Amino acid sequence: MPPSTTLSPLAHTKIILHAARYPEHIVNGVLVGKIGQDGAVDVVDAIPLLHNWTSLSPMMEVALELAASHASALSLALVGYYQADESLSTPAALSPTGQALAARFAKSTAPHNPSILLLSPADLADPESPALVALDSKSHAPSASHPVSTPNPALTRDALRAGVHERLGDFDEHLEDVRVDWLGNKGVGEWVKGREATW
Amino acid sequence: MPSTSSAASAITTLAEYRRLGLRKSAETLALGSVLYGTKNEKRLGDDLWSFLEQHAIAALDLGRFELAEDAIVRLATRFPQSPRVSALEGMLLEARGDLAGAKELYDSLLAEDETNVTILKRQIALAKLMHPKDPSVPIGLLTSYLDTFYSDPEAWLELADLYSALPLYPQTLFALEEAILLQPQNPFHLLRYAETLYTSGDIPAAWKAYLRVAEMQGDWRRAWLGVKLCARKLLQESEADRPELVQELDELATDRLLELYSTPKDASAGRPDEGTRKGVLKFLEVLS
Repeated sequence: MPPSTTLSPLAHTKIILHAARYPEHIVNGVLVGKIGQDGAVDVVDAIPLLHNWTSLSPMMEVALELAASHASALSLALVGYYQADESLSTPAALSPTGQALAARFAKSTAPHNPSILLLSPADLADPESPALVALDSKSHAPSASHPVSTPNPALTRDALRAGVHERLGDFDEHLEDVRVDWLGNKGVGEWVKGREATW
Repeated sequence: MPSTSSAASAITTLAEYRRLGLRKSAETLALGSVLYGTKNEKRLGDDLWSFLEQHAIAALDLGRFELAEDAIVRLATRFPQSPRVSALEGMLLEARGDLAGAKELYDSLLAEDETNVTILKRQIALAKLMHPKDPSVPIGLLTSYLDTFYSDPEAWLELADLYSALPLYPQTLFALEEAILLQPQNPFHLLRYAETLYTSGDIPAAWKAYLRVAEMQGDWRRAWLGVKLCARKLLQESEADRPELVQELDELATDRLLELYSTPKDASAGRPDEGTRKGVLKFLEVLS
């Protein structure tokens, strides 16, 4: 069965909010969840990593190690990676660091495919679209046969309008301010929970 | 009606953003709206013009083109023939997607004065937009600029950025070395140099560079984490010239990181995030 990615509202919101928080930067992060026997990727949460020097690896390595421990303490795993580019107009492509990570994830999730997601800015205007496209983990080209879905994409747009992206912190920010909760981002989690309760 | 105290704090905050070169466009526009086009503008005095420039750029970032144009026209009226204002006019064209129009503007301004640094830089920024898949074009323009204006650390960093994305590490490192020569006391250049060396796989050199950064800036988590990463690799892969020294410095790095992640005695300083603290202890192999 071909792979598919389903993002929880929490995970989807965090990815889009991360991109919105640092609009003039490339941002990246990892996906936390499970992969089913059929290769379906169930993304429960997202952990935002970097917005500075995204082409450099050492802090990425530290962040991955910390994120992996955090995931396994929750009986989950790192199941993929996301990237959002700074330009809305130029076609997005996976950076060389992203490519190296995609290869690394492909090894750790084998025989299944990891979920390698790129923000698709053209689709942000459509409130029903997750605005994320899955890439083939080997060719790094958009995969026509790997659908990406999230049950409530409109929730994310609401989060943007409500300015929730200001509550989000990534690993880069944590390195500057040690109080930042980049692994859990509980502030965002609480907002999403509050909204989900009203649906 | 905007209050006078919110105007005063907006003026102070916006001045701080300009001083630090912070590009927080949403906040800038929100604060600026308390001032722009109101009587409060008088309180800016001579800073009015820097404020208008800052407001225009923030407006461009948020797609508020008419507002940007309004501010730019006011600047052009006050400072006709100014290269700084022409750069804003070009940025407005770029933001609107009229790349050909921006190119025409920059080409004609450079024909009049080929040493117009502001416009030379805009030309390079435009080249990045116009050739997203071919970085050799902006790189060519930038190296040409640096042939003449070689004392410009910002330009060397931009070159490092362009090479680093390819990635071409020897060229990236060369560009960073030039920035370091120009600003040897700037720990960011050295940190970036260390991180680039690590990324390129040259762990012994990264190790030395990271130690210099830690020496310069003793409370930097990034630097000590980098020292730990290098020590681990050097000891595991037996690449160290003097393993006992690496071991000692590795222990020093562990101590410093434990300190940086401990709960401060002064409660108002704020506690480190608990999730990260546990993870870092594990990373430091203090907790198994």
